Amino acid sequence: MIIDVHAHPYFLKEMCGSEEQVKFRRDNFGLYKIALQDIDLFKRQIAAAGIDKVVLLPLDLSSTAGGTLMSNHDMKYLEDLAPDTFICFGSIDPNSKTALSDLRTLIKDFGLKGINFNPSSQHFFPNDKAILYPVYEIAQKYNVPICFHMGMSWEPNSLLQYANPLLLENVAKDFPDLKFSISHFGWPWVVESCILAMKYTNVYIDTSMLYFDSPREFFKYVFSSQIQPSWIDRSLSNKVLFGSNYPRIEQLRMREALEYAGFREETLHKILELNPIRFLNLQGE
Amino acid sequence: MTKIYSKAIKTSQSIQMIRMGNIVSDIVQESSIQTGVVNIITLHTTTGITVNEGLDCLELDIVDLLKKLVPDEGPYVHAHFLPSYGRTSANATSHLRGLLLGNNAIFPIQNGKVLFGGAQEIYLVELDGPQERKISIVVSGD
Ligand SMILES: [Zn+2]
Repeated sequence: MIIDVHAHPYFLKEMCGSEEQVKFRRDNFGLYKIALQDIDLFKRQIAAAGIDKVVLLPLDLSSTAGGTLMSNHDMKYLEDLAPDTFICFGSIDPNSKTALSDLRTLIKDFGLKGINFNPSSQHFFPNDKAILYPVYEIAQKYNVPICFHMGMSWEPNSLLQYANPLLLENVAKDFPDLKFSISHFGWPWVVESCILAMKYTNVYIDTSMLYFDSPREFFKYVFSSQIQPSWIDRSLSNKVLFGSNYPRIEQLRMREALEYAGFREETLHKILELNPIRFLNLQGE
Repeated sequence: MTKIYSKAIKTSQSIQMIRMGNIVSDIVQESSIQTGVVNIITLHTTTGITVNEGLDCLELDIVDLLKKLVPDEGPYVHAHFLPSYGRTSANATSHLRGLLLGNNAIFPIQNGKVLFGGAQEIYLVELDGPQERKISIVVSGD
């Protein structure tokens, strides 16, 4: 069962109501010319990439942009449209007064499978104990994994000062049973991401990074110039998750990039299947 | 008289050859035009329209040839972040393969029917799929 742990559903036709809603998503996600596509076409693309399940990530930008890219209620509705294929996360705005109650609703009422944060576009420091630690306590209690968008984000209102993966070290140490992933491989802080994932059992890294050149070229650069394929093969094979960052790039191209990055076959199997299954608590399925 | 029809086709593979002959024949019949020409035109830059013999083996050879002439990996300049799109252009190969095929085919219409040669089939060639593609079919004549 091959799982893409990082995709965004903002431009699926079934989830696009008004033109203003689509414009809000384009402007705040920073993806301007994409055509809306229906779930049937998305499923064809998922199949063409040889993927079985996709984690879909929403984002609550209430404080910084005055709205959500997709609400938790919509994520629940979306998961029910294709429960065999979609694994839907929820999102809360840590700067909102209702953050903790939103989190409980997301977990208990909607049964969403994880939480997505983007500190750089939600404008918070993930190591802020006063604001974030109560959130992490609840997530840890219910064994809900967290996806942290770290490193470079393309959202226009995102700031790198919030995005250094090292901001997550206290979280990793203080919440040892809270599983979380560093998205975008934390790029450009790739070595920092590797260090955290190596040292802390609860820290994962996802591969949703594309900043220069083609996916194949960029993966080759990161995995043979910034770090070594052997680092992943020998020390981190259990900690890396395949993530595409669809629709900013096609899943097929990101999967091919991963397969050409120079890892051992066993490592690829772990990145594409075994690690996402463990991260997402899907062992029984 | 000229009539313009449009056809939406959802593809299912990254590269795929889709036979269009029957679709075009049906549209020509629907147009009631007896003598003239029909143009089959794609509205995209990462598809092609071409004519060849409708055989599975040739379809494989054509795809192989496109991949050989435009290899998956190469120093393509169209591989960078496009600020106006908000995403990376990663489909140089799709554009360049499309260049080799062209965007249209044209056939005569005689006695209300498309005049195909004995072996001819019209193909829409998907080069960056799966996608939803739009084809324009223009029927002109009397
Ligand atoms: Zn993302």
